[in-house]
Amino acid sequence: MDKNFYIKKSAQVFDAIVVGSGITGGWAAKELTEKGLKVLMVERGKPVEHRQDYPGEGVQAWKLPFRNAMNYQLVEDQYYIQRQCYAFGDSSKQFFMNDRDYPYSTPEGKPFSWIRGNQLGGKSLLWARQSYRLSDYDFNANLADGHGVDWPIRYKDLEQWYSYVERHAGISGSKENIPVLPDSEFLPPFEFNNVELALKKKIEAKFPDRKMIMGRCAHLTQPAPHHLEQGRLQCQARNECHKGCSFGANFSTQSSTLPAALKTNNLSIATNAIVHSVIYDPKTNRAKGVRIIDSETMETREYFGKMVFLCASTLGTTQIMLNSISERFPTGIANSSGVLGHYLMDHLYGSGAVGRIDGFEDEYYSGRRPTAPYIPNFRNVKEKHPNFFRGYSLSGSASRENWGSFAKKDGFGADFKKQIQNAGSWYFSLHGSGEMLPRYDNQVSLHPTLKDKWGMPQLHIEASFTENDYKMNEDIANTAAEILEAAGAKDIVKHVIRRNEDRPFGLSIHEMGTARMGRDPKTSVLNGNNQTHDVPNLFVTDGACMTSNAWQNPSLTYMAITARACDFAVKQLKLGKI
Amino acid sequence: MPHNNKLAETTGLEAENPRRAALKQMALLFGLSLSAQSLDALAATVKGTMPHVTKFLSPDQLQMTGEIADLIIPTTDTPGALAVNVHGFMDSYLAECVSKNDQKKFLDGLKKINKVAEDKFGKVFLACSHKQHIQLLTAIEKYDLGFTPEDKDFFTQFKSLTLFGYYTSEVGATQELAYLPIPGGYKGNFPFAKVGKAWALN
Ligand SMILES: Cc1cc2nc3c(=O)[nH]c(=O)nc-3n(C[C@H](O)[C@H](O)[C@H](O)COP(=O)(O)OP(=O)(O)OC[C@H]3O[C@@H](n4cnc5c(N)ncnc54)[C@H](O)[C@@H]3O)c2cc1C
Ligand code: SF4
Repeated sequence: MDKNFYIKKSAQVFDAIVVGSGITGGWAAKELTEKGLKVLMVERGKPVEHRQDYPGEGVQAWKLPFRNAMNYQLVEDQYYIQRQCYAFGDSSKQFFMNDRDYPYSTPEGKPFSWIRGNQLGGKSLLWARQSYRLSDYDFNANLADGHGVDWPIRYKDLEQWYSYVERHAGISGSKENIPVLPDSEFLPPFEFNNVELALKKKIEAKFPDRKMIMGRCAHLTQPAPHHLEQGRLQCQARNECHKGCSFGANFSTQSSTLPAALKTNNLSIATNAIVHSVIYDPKTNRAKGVRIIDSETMETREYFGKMVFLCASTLGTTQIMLNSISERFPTGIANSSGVLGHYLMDHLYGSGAVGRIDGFEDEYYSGRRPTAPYIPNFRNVKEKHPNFFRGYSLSGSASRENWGSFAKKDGFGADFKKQIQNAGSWYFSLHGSGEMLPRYDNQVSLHPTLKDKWGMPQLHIEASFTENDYKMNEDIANTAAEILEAAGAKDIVKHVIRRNEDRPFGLSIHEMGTARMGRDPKTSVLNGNNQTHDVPNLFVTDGACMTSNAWQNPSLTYMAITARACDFAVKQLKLGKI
Repeated sequence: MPHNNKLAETTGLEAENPRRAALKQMALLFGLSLSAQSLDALAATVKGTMPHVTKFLSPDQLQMTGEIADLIIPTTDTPGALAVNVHGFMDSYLAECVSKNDQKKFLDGLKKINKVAEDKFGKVFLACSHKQHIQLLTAIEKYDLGFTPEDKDFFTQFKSLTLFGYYTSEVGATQELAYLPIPGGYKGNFPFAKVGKAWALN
């Protein structure tokens, strides 16, 4: 392949600079280049070529030195945070950030797990691809209960952009007409298994407000002609998506947005380029470009552009903004409001319940479905719950116990081996994804003294859960148990997260907020078009922009918001307003 | 080698480098134009399959580990734990992948079994008969013969490592259980009888 698009030094003034190449950076690059702009994408990590750089893909466990486990000391020294992520292992470690090289600090008793991808493609290579729209219940939420500021946009502002990104990315799912969860542009949904179908019937009969649908995800269950044209093929249900997928069957920067952007011949990419700060020109009140540190040579360089899109992930972007200091912006670029770094949110995961489903010994499934049944939120929709604000979804599947469950059972010998071969009982699990309130106190700042090895000031992250979160966790577990019971499950075991230490903030990997959108420049960083209130040619379209948390997995919304902001920015540029 | 994977059988892929095989399969299924050369180049990106040399257990401890593992997963109509060298895997796993503390717990667990064997039968575990072995392992699970809940925790750990070693081995995954590297999609209405045994990967 022609690799001319990789650049190191350049004096060119690009039409736009996009910082980051993950889900949002990929979309920004695609949209801006397709609209004819000359774009430079700046990425801190190394290049990753689709198909070539997926060393763990398709490698059977027995071909790995420790069957996907890793050297203890290596993990202790370099991946002490990343190891907490379920997707981390020998065959995916190359897509995770090295914790030793990129340290950050947290106060005593308030752990924060910052899971990061540090390469071309960012976390788009790792994500589980769960994809859900937000609805007006979410865009109205802050206004309705008074937590946080009002979103400056509503569902109608984003609706066409959801459709637009969904068609390109490819989202599987079923039309359901559920008010709290608008339908997407769907490819066919994955199948339920027979046990799930039986439980779905019971659950929906017992609880008219709860519907069990198939989890919506960015996997090509049936590629459309435009997907095939992009070289993307049908999903094979291997469920090893985080190792890289040579079928291009799931959405990643590499499979989807990057090829589209490169096709325009308008994209240049600088990898191994750590953005240190945004260059600000006080005379014009514009961002002029970015200062970078070459991660390999430690050299510093500057790149110039007519506008700058920050897509470096929620906290990556905020770190750059806080570090972009000038006389006009002594506490970080575009921070006249003082809220930059505040209102950090993540989702509440880890609470739920699991139970055994007796019978169905003749039933099984074939293939490893990369998604699971899903019950959209039903809390605080029609009436206020007495104990907490906001809502949650429940998800989980019915599956048969395999060898992994048998260690905890008594027995050994030929019979034991036979039992494992015959597959165990069916189990059904339901776990929550809960919404958190935006709070000023959950915040990130630059550490006053500590720097990483490239001289970037470290982030200091201070975030903790509150009563609202714990009460919701409690309800998630109780409600999951109640649903399992109605479905006929036996020996139900509940799990409730009750302390910061049980499951650190951040580990849901849906960190968002810290440069929120809002109507008022005094209380928000971004306007309704993801443009900073203070600096007209500076845009933030990753999760930092989120005004509230909602209960849905966020990345589809980041995609739609990014495409919409690009459309706005290009129009402004053409009008000479930027 | 017996193999229950239909796709692999029909394409004869099992003799190849697994990654090359996987890639070739994609090429076959979808008419992707990957040349033999590029298949090799892609497949060569897999490193780290070299056998390691670091060992943790002494020869006696290794043998005892192998014996216990084989009591858990014996040879039946398919090979058992000893035959597929699960003890060798456990040795390197313990040497490389666990903390010093967990290494010590493992050795303490073996010691405890030897101690109970000596108290009860007057000889170390390896010198005991098959029947006595079964008595000892049964006793751990029932907290009998002076075994404590802690000893049972150790045995649970041991068992989980044995199952991990066995069912992620080629024999365990593809002969004892059913293994589909590329399932071709998810089917939710699928009678158990159609495969007749559990999937190696859920
Ligand atoms: C295992 C896992 C499962 C997940 N599952 C889901 C899911 O099912 N659904 C969902 O919606 N979300 C999921 N997520 C979250 C999802 O991955 C993120 O929301 C999404 O990737 C965010 O996109 P982004 O573009 O903001 O950031 P990223 O994708 O993280 O990309 C940011 C990029 O910016 C680069 N960067 C950072 N700082 C700098 C700098 N100073 N200079 C230059 N470059 C920089 C990074 O190296 C990176 O490449 C999951 C995440 C993980 C890890
Ligand atoms: S499940 Fe689908 S997307 Fe995931 S690795 Fe397999 S083919 Fe690729």
